[in-house]
Amino acid sequence: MLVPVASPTETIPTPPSASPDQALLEALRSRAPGAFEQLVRTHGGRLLAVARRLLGNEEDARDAVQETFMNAYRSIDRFEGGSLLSTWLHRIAVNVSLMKLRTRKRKPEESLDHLLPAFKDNGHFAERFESGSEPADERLSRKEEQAAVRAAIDQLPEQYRTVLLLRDIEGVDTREVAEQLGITANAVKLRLHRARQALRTLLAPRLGRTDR
Amino acid sequence: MSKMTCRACADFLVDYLDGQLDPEVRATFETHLDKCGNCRTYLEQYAAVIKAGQRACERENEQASGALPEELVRAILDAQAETGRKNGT
Repeated sequence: MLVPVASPTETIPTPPSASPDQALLEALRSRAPGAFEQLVRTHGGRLLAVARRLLGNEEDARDAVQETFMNAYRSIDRFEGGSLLSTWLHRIAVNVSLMKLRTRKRKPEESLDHLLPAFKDNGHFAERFESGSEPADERLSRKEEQAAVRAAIDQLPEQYRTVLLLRDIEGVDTREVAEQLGITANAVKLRLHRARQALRTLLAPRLGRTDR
Repeated sequence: MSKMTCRACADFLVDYLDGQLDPEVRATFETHLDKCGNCRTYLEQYAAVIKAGQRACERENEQASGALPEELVRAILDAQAETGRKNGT
């Protein structure tokens, strides 16, 4: 069994008892020729997608991916194999991308109040939300809706988009997001809630009718 | 907590979906949902956009997998070779 890579000449043989991850990990640790290239070719594309989402800039995203692999190369001997290689690399890529975000000149905070639901004095929603003929989940899961969903995420102001991407998409927990961004857990939850509400508003025309 | 408004209900959505509401608040929250169709629809749509975001980004990851630009692959491998030379590995 061989670990699949782009070029057949770069494959690392996998012993029958080992997973492809274990075989590649051992090859990386022994500095086997072609092992690092296999790691890059197997996992690089997904990591670039993650970095592009978080950084929104191709040049920074490519730098982040390169830095991710160099960090991985330097610390491969400390990786204990308690998670999948893909999970470990993903975590490094998220951390590197966040470091890059932190070094950027901070933009003034943009408001998204206009995308939040309004309430009457008695605490009821000011709008009436209507379900469409099919469940919202099914409607938005159509392939043709996915570009609209991605575009809506990209429309969110950076400080909200980053929290939504980290929590909902990259699967980082609230406590860690708070640590990484240097804000409180409550601030993470508030930004996440506002980002989700704004996303719902942006996608409302695709969800069903709303009467004001 | 005996009664909940739509505004309070909306404020609890993150903790509700994370399963982190304490049982008493959760019971009041669910009682409100039973009676308020507007909040049920809002919750359904709020949860749907989270899933839709996850699906759209997963699809983006799948499309990107194995598609690292060749010049970036070369740059990474050159940087690794340079580091290897410096470290004598």
